[in-house]
Amino acid sequence: MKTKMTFSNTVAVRRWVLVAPALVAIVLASCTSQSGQDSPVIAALSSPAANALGAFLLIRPDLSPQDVAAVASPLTSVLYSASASQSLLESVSKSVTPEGSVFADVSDVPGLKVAYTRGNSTVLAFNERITRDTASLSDIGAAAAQSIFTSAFQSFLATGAISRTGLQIANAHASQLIQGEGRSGQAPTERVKEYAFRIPRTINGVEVFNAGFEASVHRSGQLARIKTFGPKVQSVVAADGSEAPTASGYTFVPSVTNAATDARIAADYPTAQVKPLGLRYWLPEGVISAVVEPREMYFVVPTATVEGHTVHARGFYVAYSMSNSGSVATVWPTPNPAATGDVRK
Amino acid sequence: MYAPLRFKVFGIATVVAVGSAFAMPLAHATQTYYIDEGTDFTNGNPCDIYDVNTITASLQTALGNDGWTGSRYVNPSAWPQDFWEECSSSYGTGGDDLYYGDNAILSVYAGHGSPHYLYFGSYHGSACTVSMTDNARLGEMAAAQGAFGMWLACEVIQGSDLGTTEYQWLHQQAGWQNSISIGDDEPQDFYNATSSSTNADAWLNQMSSGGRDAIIATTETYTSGSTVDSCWSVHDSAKLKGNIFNTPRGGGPSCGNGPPEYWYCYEHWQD
Repeated sequence: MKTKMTFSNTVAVRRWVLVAPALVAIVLASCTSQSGQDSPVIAALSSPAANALGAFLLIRPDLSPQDVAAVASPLTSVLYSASASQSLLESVSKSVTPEGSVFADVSDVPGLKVAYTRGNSTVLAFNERITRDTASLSDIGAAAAQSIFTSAFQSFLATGAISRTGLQIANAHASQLIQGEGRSGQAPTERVKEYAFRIPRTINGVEVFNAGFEASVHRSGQLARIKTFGPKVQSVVAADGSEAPTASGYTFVPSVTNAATDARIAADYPTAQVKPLGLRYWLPEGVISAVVEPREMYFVVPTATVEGHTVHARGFYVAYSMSNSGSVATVWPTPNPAATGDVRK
Repeated sequence: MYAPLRFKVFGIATVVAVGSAFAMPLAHATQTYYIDEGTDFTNGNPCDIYDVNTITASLQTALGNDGWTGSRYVNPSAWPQDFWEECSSSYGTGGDDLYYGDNAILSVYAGHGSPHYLYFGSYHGSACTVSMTDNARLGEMAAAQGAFGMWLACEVIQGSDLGTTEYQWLHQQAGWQNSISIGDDEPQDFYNATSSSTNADAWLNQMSSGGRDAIIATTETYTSGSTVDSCWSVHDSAKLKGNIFNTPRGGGPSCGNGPPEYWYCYEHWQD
């Protein structure tokens, strides 16, 4: 049951009809819109069902060198606690690969590297003087590192580079970069090198897969890496922070249960190891934009036994519709068994 | 184990300069690569596992754009013996790394893996596996041209195995410690990132999203009086596209001999 939102079904929407284009622009700016590709017509629910979910337009835009520099500038300011590099745009502009990605060495800031990869619209800045510090002895510990991360995140929000909508510090996921060393015949000695924290982008509590903000803090207490990644969400943000789809989107009431998708994945991949990821908005890599319903998502790792060894195959993601039990699953990456290469000599 | 700041008190620029000073004069006039890729793993042979996506085509394009030369063999053209040591049948009958896997600076396999094993979709010479322990001796013995091993498969490199079963006479090896998926262009992105970043940062930045336990490891020769710093100095400066440490290590053991003592060092993400 899908409800295509129109311009006339709420009082709130009618109120927006009267506003000038400038106000529409303000609304779009308050969202996480990046490209304005969606119509500035606003959709909202008048009386949404309690379990209704939104389908949102997600966009993974190709960034120009100017766009990359604009995103990287506040990242580098936070990373170095200093004003942005004067040569950032120049450095980015001359470091574009034939594929449109960027790997820049920013000459006027010692150690600063900026990268943009198109696959998941990731903009990364890191300080090589810190990331390549494998020698320092001090370790501030995870709690202190998290405090530094929190401050960095607040500083990044304060730059206005992104909206805080859907980025909740309470959702931060911690991981660690470990360094190890040893001598042949001996087991390694390991220690933490960086403490990393990732805040996933959520829409009304549902994660957008592989999108958000991430930074790492070196054990010495200095910021090492900082990045934004993933598709942008086109939405209308209410005062309470909740989001409604724009005119491209719609709302629907799920008709498929989680138990049903669990049964489906088990039937589809009976011999694989399956990790449930939960409900996710997912724009698979390679897709530039699409209106996306949240889907029940899984990571699937086929297994086999070869010469007595258990082999865990390269895995793939599978997502099932919650509105149509008969729809084809989304699967990524796509196998290509017919691939060919050079003629063997 | 951890010397205070070592010579890094002079900063990364010094490290890079030192690495460059040693590596550049030894760099090959032409950078070389060798790639085997399996995507068809449902063809009725003993390594049937699961078909996968193509991930080295765009890498080959990027290498070619930069003047690297080499071959990329796929599916029935990619053989496990390409990575088997050629100098003696004790490493497996029909080893051919003299002409293939150990005859290039950058050696790549894309397909399936398990700890210190590679699995091929093709079944050639009654084999479809490469044991890093029993079959492969990259960077040493026959050919001995390998410097960087990129294992685009699950679990091949385990940090705990680097001192034993995962040994190769390469400067660096990169892979993952867990089960992962790999996007079509991610190896290309990694390579391109090494123009400005070290191999270590490029691998850790480009290959770790989605809970992937990316690992990149460096190995250097132990000599009397040396410390693990000699390993970290390479680890913290090597660049594929930047052409730093794109050289065979040299001085490896001759055919049939075991490895001399060595240092290893690595980084990996832990979710």
